[in-house]
Amino acid sequence: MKYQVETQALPYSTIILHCLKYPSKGVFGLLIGNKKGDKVTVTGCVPLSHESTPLAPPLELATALVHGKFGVSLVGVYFSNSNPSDASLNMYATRLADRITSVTSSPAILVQVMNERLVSDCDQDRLVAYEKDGDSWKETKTIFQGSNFLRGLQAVIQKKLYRELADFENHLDNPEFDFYNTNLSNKLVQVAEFRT
Amino acid sequence: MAETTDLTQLSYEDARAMLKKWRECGVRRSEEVVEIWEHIISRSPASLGDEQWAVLEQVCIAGLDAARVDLAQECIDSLHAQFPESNRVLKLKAMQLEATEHYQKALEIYDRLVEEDPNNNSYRKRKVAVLLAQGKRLDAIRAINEYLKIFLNDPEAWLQLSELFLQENDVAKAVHCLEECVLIQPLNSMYFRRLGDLRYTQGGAENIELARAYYERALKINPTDLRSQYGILLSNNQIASTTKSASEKKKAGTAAVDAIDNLVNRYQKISPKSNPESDGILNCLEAMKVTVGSK
Repeated sequence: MKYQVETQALPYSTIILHCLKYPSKGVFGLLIGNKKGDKVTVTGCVPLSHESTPLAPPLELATALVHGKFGVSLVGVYFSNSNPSDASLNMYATRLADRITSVTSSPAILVQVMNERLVSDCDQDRLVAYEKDGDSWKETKTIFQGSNFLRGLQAVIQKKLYRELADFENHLDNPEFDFYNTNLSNKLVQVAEFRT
Repeated sequence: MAETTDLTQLSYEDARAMLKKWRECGVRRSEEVVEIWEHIISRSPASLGDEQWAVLEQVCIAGLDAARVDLAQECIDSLHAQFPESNRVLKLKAMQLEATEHYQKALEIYDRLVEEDPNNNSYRKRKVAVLLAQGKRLDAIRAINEYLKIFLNDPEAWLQLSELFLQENDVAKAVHCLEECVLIQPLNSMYFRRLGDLRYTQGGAENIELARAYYERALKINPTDLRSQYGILLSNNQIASTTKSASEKKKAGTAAVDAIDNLVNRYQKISPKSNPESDGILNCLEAMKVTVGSK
């Protein structure tokens, strides 16, 4: 096991909101952050798609745009499966992560939302992280300091802020939608009182 | 701009119109349907007149989708009292069984309904949905294939089948399904664009050329489609960097630059207030133009 992955409150919440906006679908997105030694800190995320089988063109485009903006800070991929009890790795997610690895020339991490833990009384980490080991993906450690910010997240969910989230697919349907979710992030910090 | 309207503050008439619109275009906004029902319409469902039965059906299905089985039950009770013999209400009952994971019982009802009314395709579709909910992908593929032997002209079924083939990583079969959709609805730009996406995903010179042709077709039908415009950019860019023919290279390069110009035009119209990042995307596009132009 090489990496430990810590996802900060803002990206953590955004990922959960992405899932909540599309309860009947799987979601995909990119992770922004930094690597220091064996620790990966995820400081932001960019929601991409709410299809279980996203095709190459939108992913290629989004990767080019996000890599153009963030460069080496593009550290990985997050996803959730559409079926709540399906905890398997999604081939489309691993393929996208491989692509990130080749674009940034640095090993990408993969984060999966465990759908069955998306209930309010769950005190486990909803995210599981993987790193590539040879040809296969192996689970790696996550650092979870949930209980504090999960309360904030609860407030955000009650305000139904997930309806304001936009992913890259939404942006392609209507370019007025900001898939970086600048305004939503500001609101999240306010409502949930996340420390930035 | 994200939609920030507070649905609970709509007037009764607006709420009614919104439910009608969603019902007619078949959009899946279950949580919002439940919200509009509970905050506004349920105050006086009788004012809807005969429309109330259609609304109750809509709210019932939304309730099941949004894990509000209690609300769905209320709707079913009202509908059952009004239409005690109705198969349509029985179908809702079966959907409720699905939502509570009583798949076998649901299937028994659907089988009975299919037998009574073999021409109604919705019961057969629910049987496929049961398989999907259980994660039985291969069985679902088999069931849709059977279904399509009878209801050949159902693009929704072909789309679902194509999605399942993609999950099986079989792009070629997914392409075939989309080709059927195009045959059924040759003026639907979405099917052409999707075919372009699939061919582009398959990769290889021949497929990329096909992708470009499909994107061009999609854009002709729907000139404002941003995805097709991006598709034209990607496929031409790919062709320009791989083709050995100098004239092809030049042609593709010019087409890619044109596509970028069209995209830039589109992004320049966006107010930074609604999308604060549109300037950043514009810069990326301008940078792409330089690299494409130098090929």
